Amino acid sequence: MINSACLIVSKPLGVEISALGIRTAWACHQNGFECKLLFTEEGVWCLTDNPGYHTSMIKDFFGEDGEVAVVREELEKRGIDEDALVDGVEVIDAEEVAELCEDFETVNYF
Amino acid sequence: MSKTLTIMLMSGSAENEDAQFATNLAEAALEKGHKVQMYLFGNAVNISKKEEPIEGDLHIAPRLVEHIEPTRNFERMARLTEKGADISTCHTNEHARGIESKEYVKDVKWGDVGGSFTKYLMTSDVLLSVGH
Repeated sequence: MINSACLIVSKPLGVEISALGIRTAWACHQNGFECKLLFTEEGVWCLTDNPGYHTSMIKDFFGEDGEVAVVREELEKRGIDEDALVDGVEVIDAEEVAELCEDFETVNYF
Repeated sequence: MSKTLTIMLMSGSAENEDAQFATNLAEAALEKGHKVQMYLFGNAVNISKKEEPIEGDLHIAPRLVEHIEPTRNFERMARLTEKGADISTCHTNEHARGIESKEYVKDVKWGDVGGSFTKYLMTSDVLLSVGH
Protein backbone atom coordinates (compact mmCIF):
# COMPACT_ATOMS: atom_id res chain seq x y z
CA MET A 1 0.00 0.00 0.00
CA ILE A 2 1.36 3.37 -0.87
CA ASN A 3 -1.05 6.13 0.03
CA SER A 4 -3.05 7.15 3.06
CA ALA A 5 -5.71 9.50 4.28
CA CYS A 6 -5.44 10.40 7.96
CA LEU A 7 -8.75 11.44 9.51
CA ILE A 8 -8.32 13.46 12.68
CA VAL A 9 -11.41 13.55 14.90
CA SER A 10 -9.76 14.34 18.24
CA LYS A 11 -9.18 17.74 19.80
CA PRO A 12 -5.65 19.14 20.04
CA LEU A 13 -5.35 19.44 23.81
CA GLY A 14 -6.08 17.03 26.64
CA VAL A 15 -5.80 13.92 24.49
CA GLU A 16 -2.88 12.51 22.57
CA ILE A 17 -4.56 10.96 19.56
CA SER A 18 -4.66 14.00 17.26
CA ALA A 19 -0.90 14.49 17.66
CA LEU A 20 -0.41 10.82 16.73
CA GLY A 21 -2.45 11.35 13.57
CA ILE A 22 -0.45 14.37 12.50
CA ARG A 23 2.80 12.53 13.22
CA THR A 24 1.61 9.57 11.17
CA ALA A 25 0.74 11.78 8.21
CA TRP A 26 4.08 13.53 8.48
CA ALA A 27 5.97 10.24 8.64
CA CYS A 28 4.12 8.84 5.64
CA HIS A 29 4.63 12.02 3.64
CA GLN A 30 8.33 12.22 4.47
CA ASN A 31 8.76 8.61 3.37
CA GLY A 32 7.29 9.29 -0.03
CA PHE A 33 3.72 8.08 0.50
CA GLU A 34 0.94 10.25 -0.84
CA CYS A 35 -0.91 11.36 2.27
CA LYS A 36 -3.76 13.74 3.03
CA LEU A 37 -4.86 15.02 6.42
CA LEU A 38 -8.59 15.46 6.92
CA PHE A 39 -9.88 17.17 10.06
CA THR A 40 -13.44 16.61 11.20
CA GLU A 41 -15.52 16.52 14.39
CA GLU A 42 -13.45 17.82 17.35
CA GLY A 43 -10.33 17.56 15.19
CA VAL A 44 -11.23 20.84 13.47
CA TRP A 45 -9.90 22.70 16.54
CA CYS A 46 -6.41 21.56 15.50
CA LEU A 47 -6.57 23.98 12.56
CA THR A 48 -7.36 27.19 14.46
CA ASP A 49 -3.78 28.45 14.55
CA ASN A 50 -3.31 27.60 18.23
CA PRO A 51 0.22 27.98 19.53
CA GLY A 52 2.22 24.77 19.82
CA TYR A 53 2.94 21.41 18.27
CA HIS A 54 -0.13 20.88 16.09
CA THR A 55 0.04 24.20 14.27
CA SER A 56 3.79 24.01 13.75
CA MET A 57 3.50 20.48 12.33
CA ILE A 58 0.61 21.44 10.06
CA LYS A 59 2.57 24.41 8.73
CA ASP A 60 5.60 22.19 8.14
CA PHE A 61 3.32 19.70 6.36
CA PHE A 62 2.14 22.46 4.06
CA GLY A 63 5.75 23.50 3.56
CA GLU A 64 6.47 20.03 2.20
CA ASP A 65 3.47 20.19 -0.18
CA GLY A 66 1.20 18.20 2.12
CA GLU A 67 -2.56 18.47 1.60
CA VAL A 68 -4.94 19.36 4.43
CA ALA A 69 -8.73 19.46 4.35
CA VAL A 70 -11.48 20.20 6.84
CA VAL A 71 -15.20 19.47 6.82
CA ARG A 72 -17.27 22.63 6.39
CA GLU A 73 -20.25 21.45 8.45
CA GLU A 74 -18.03 20.63 11.42
CA LEU A 75 -16.61 24.16 11.39
CA GLU A 76 -20.13 25.62 11.23
CA LYS A 77 -21.36 23.50 14.16
CA ARG A 78 -18.60 24.95 16.32
CA GLY A 79 -18.90 28.53 15.11
CA ILE A 80 -15.41 28.51 13.62
CA ASP A 81 -14.95 30.90 10.72
CA GLU A 82 -12.91 29.65 7.76
CA ASP A 83 -10.75 32.80 8.05
CA ALA A 84 -9.62 31.63 11.50
CA LEU A 85 -7.93 28.54 10.04
CA VAL A 86 -4.27 28.05 9.24
CA ASP A 87 -3.66 29.29 5.68
CA GLY A 88 -3.96 26.72 2.92
CA VAL A 89 -6.62 24.41 4.37
CA GLU A 90 -9.12 23.11 1.82
CA VAL A 91 -12.69 23.28 3.09
CA ILE A 92 -14.82 20.41 1.79
CA ASP A 93 -18.44 19.38 2.27
CA ALA A 94 -19.29 16.38 4.45
CA GLU A 95 -20.67 14.53 1.46
CA GLU A 96 -17.20 14.63 -0.15
CA VAL A 97 -15.53 12.70 2.68
CA ALA A 98 -16.48 9.23 1.46
CA GLU A 99 -15.26 10.07 -2.04
CA LEU A 100 -11.98 11.36 -0.61
CA CYS A 101 -11.51 8.11 1.32
CA GLU A 102 -12.11 6.11 -1.86
CA ASP A 103 -9.19 7.92 -3.46
CA PHE A 104 -6.80 6.40 -0.93
CA GLU A 105 -5.71 2.83 -0.40
CA THR A 106 -5.55 3.19 3.37
CA VAL A 107 -7.51 5.34 5.79
CA ASN A 108 -6.29 5.93 9.31
CA TYR A 109 -8.56 7.32 12.01
CA PHE A 110 -7.30 9.31 14.97
CA MET B 1 -4.51 -16.93 -0.07
CA SER B 2 -2.45 -15.47 2.75
CA LYS B 3 -2.81 -11.72 3.31
CA THR B 4 -0.95 -9.26 5.48
CA LEU B 5 -2.98 -7.47 8.13
CA THR B 6 -1.53 -4.38 9.78
CA ILE B 7 -3.14 -3.15 12.98
CA MET B 8 -2.34 0.24 14.41
CA LEU B 9 -3.47 -0.07 18.03
CA MET B 10 -3.83 3.09 20.12
CA SER B 11 -5.45 1.83 23.33
CA GLY B 12 -3.83 -0.01 26.21
CA SER B 13 -5.15 -2.61 28.61
CA ALA B 14 -8.15 -1.86 30.84
CA GLU B 15 -9.09 1.56 29.40
CA ASN B 16 -11.48 -0.02 26.90
CA GLU B 17 -11.80 -3.26 24.94
CA ASP B 18 -9.73 -2.16 21.94
CA ALA B 19 -6.55 -3.97 22.98
CA GLN B 20 -8.49 -7.16 23.68
CA PHE B 21 -10.23 -6.89 20.32
CA ALA B 22 -7.02 -6.17 18.42
CA THR B 23 -4.99 -8.94 20.01
CA ASN B 24 -7.81 -11.46 19.59
CA LEU B 25 -8.24 -10.47 15.95
CA ALA B 26 -4.50 -10.72 15.38
CA GLU B 27 -4.40 -14.18 16.90
CA ALA B 28 -7.35 -15.33 14.81
CA ALA B 29 -5.71 -14.01 11.64
CA LEU B 30 -2.44 -15.79 12.46
CA GLU B 31 -4.32 -19.03 13.07
CA LYS B 32 -5.91 -18.66 9.63
CA GLY B 33 -2.45 -18.45 8.10
CA HIS B 34 -2.29 -14.71 7.53
CA LYS B 35 0.62 -12.47 8.37
CA VAL B 36 0.08 -9.90 11.13
CA GLN B 37 1.96 -6.67 11.73
CA MET B 38 1.03 -4.55 14.73
CA TYR B 39 2.15 -1.03 15.53
CA LEU B 40 1.62 0.00 19.16
CA PHE B 41 0.93 3.72 19.32
CA GLY B 42 -0.27 5.98 22.15
CA ASN B 43 -1.43 4.08 25.24
CA ALA B 44 -0.94 0.77 23.42
CA VAL B 45 2.79 1.01 24.14
CA ASN B 46 1.91 -0.07 27.70
CA ILE B 47 1.16 -3.58 26.50
CA SER B 48 4.55 -3.92 24.82
CA LYS B 49 6.30 -4.33 28.17
CA LYS B 50 6.81 -7.41 30.32
CA GLU B 51 4.59 -7.64 33.33
CA GLU B 52 6.30 -6.92 36.65
CA PRO B 53 4.06 -8.73 39.13
CA ILE B 54 4.36 -8.28 42.88
CA GLU B 55 5.15 -11.16 45.18
CA GLY B 56 2.47 -12.56 47.46
CA ASP B 57 -1.08 -11.42 48.09
CA LEU B 58 -2.48 -8.99 45.51
CA HIS B 59 -4.90 -7.47 48.04
CA ILE B 60 -7.55 -7.49 45.33
CA ALA B 61 -10.85 -9.30 45.82
CA PRO B 62 -10.93 -12.58 43.84
CA ARG B 63 -14.05 -11.54 41.91
CA LEU B 64 -12.32 -8.32 40.88
CA VAL B 65 -9.22 -10.24 39.76
CA GLU B 66 -11.53 -12.46 37.74
CA HIS B 67 -13.14 -9.35 36.23
CA ILE B 68 -9.80 -7.72 35.35
CA GLU B 69 -8.03 -10.80 34.03
CA PRO B 70 -9.51 -10.85 30.49
CA THR B 71 -8.53 -7.20 30.00
CA ARG B 72 -4.84 -7.89 30.58
CA ASN B 73 -2.96 -8.52 27.37
CA PHE B 74 0.54 -9.59 28.43
CA GLU B 75 0.10 -13.28 27.68
CA ARG B 76 -1.73 -12.63 24.41
CA MET B 77 1.07 -10.34 23.26
CA ALA B 78 3.64 -13.04 23.96
CA ARG B 79 1.52 -15.60 22.11
CA LEU B 80 1.27 -13.31 19.09
CA THR B 81 5.03 -12.97 18.68
CA GLU B 82 5.47 -16.71 19.27
CA LYS B 83 3.03 -17.30 16.42
CA GLY B 84 4.98 -15.01 14.13
CA ALA B 85 3.39 -11.57 14.50
CA ASP B 86 5.70 -8.66 13.82
CA ILE B 87 5.05 -6.12 16.58
CA SER B 88 6.79 -2.83 17.22
CA THR B 89 6.16 0.22 19.36
CA CYS B 90 6.45 3.98 19.25
CA HIS B 91 9.43 4.78 21.44
CA THR B 92 8.36 8.44 21.67
CA ASN B 93 5.12 7.37 23.34
CA GLU B 94 7.12 5.08 25.62
CA HIS B 95 9.27 8.05 26.55
CA ALA B 96 6.15 10.11 27.31
CA ARG B 97 5.09 7.42 29.77
CA GLY B 98 8.53 6.92 31.34
CA ILE B 99 8.71 3.25 30.31
CA GLU B 100 11.22 3.29 27.47
CA SER B 101 13.89 1.39 29.41
CA LYS B 102 11.55 -1.39 30.57
CA GLU B 103 11.93 -4.80 28.99
CA TYR B 104 9.68 -5.69 26.05
CA VAL B 105 7.49 -8.74 25.84
CA LYS B 106 9.53 -11.34 23.95
CA ASP B 107 10.27 -10.27 20.35
CA VAL B 108 8.32 -7.00 20.52
CA LYS B 109 10.57 -4.38 18.94
CA TRP B 110 11.52 -0.77 19.59
CA GLY B 111 10.22 1.37 16.76
CA ASP B 112 8.95 4.67 15.45
CA VAL B 113 6.18 5.81 13.18
CA GLY B 114 8.51 7.01 10.42
CA GLY B 115 10.43 3.74 10.24
CA SER B 116 8.40 0.84 11.62
CA PHE B 117 4.90 1.91 10.67
CA THR B 118 5.70 3.10 7.17
CA LYS B 119 7.57 -0.17 6.56
CA TYR B 120 4.44 -2.05 7.63
CA LEU B 121 2.34 0.15 5.35
CA MET B 122 4.40 -0.85 2.33
CA THR B 123 3.65 -4.52 2.82
CA SER B 124 0.02 -4.38 4.00
CA ASP B 125 -3.02 -5.77 2.27
CA VAL B 126 -5.33 -4.47 4.97
CA LEU B 127 -4.79 -1.68 7.50
CA LEU B 128 -6.93 -1.37 10.59
CA SER B 129 -6.51 1.47 13.08
CA VAL B 130 -8.03 0.61 16.44
CA GLY B 131 -8.36 3.02 19.32
CA HIS B 132 -10.42 5.81 20.79
